[in-house]
Amino acid sequence: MASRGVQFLVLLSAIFGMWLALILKFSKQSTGYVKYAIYGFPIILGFLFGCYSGFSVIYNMIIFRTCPQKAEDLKKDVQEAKDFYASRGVRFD
Amino acid sequence: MVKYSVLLPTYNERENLPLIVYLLNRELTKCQVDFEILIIDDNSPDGTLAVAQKLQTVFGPEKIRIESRPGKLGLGTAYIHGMRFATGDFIIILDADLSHHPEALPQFIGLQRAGNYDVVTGTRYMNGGGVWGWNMKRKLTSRVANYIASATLGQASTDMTGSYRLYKRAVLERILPSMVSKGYVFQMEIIMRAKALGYRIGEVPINFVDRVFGESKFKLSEITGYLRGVWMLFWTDMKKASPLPTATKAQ
Repeated sequence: MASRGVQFLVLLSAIFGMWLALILKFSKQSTGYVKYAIYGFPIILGFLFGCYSGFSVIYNMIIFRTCPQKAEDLKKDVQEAKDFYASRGVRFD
Repeated sequence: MVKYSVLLPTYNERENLPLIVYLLNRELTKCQVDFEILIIDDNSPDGTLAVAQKLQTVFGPEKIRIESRPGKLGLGTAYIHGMRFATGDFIIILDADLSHHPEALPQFIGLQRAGNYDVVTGTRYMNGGGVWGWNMKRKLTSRVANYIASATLGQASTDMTGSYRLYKRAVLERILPSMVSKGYVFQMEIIMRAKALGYRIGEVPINFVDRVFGESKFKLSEITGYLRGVWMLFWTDMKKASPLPTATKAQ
């Protein structure tokens, strides 16, 4: 298996090839919206991908949980550890 | 008995080291497993090594082992160095600064056993996981960084940059010699290689408590360093590995 970059380039060339074939075959016959859709295909694809990326990142940022309880628990654990060493007379300074 | 080796690379962690060691001992004792903690100190100027030696007298030299290095040589080589001395069947890696709480370890060990996973990785993004001490901007940066990695490199884990993990010994022995990256994307390369090699990866939710709140940890140089690392991994064949594992079991 090649690197992700090579895989990506192969996929991209395949899509580009299909798009080019589509233009050569249909662009002369078709009119109006169909023509725009064919020519604008890469832009539409890029736009949709951008939308997906944006929504996905923002949605995940919003649901990214903050856990204040864990910070409190950690403080208690730190104290527990300090007490443990103190009870054994161990000093680290 | 199955043995777990905790690799703990340290640099200026004299404050945190006794705390993390206490908590590791508490949690791993709870799991009723054999374990050792390998402290790999990079000659910290703050006297971390002296603290480690004191810990050895508290918990015993079998539990606390010190394999220090002459200078700050980086995280990646610290793992390779640690693997040379680790005697466990499983390797646990976590940050020594208490942002990774050892209380998650029973879950790591339990999941690994239940599903016979090759790697178990902690994830902040899974249900039950989370962070503390991060504002929206920091959360956004983290999400963008993770999205870029997943989209370009493939999602090997929901938390691509996470560094709290449990490995079967053989997995690290196979992967570490073929590693190409250092620094920011080191952990990501390990998980990508593990996935590419067909290892089974399990995930447990973790809570990342950032104790140095307020301090802006994201510098421009870190962002560019990260992106450069992702770009480098993008063009790396993750299956291409050196044929023979170089790290061998000590003793």
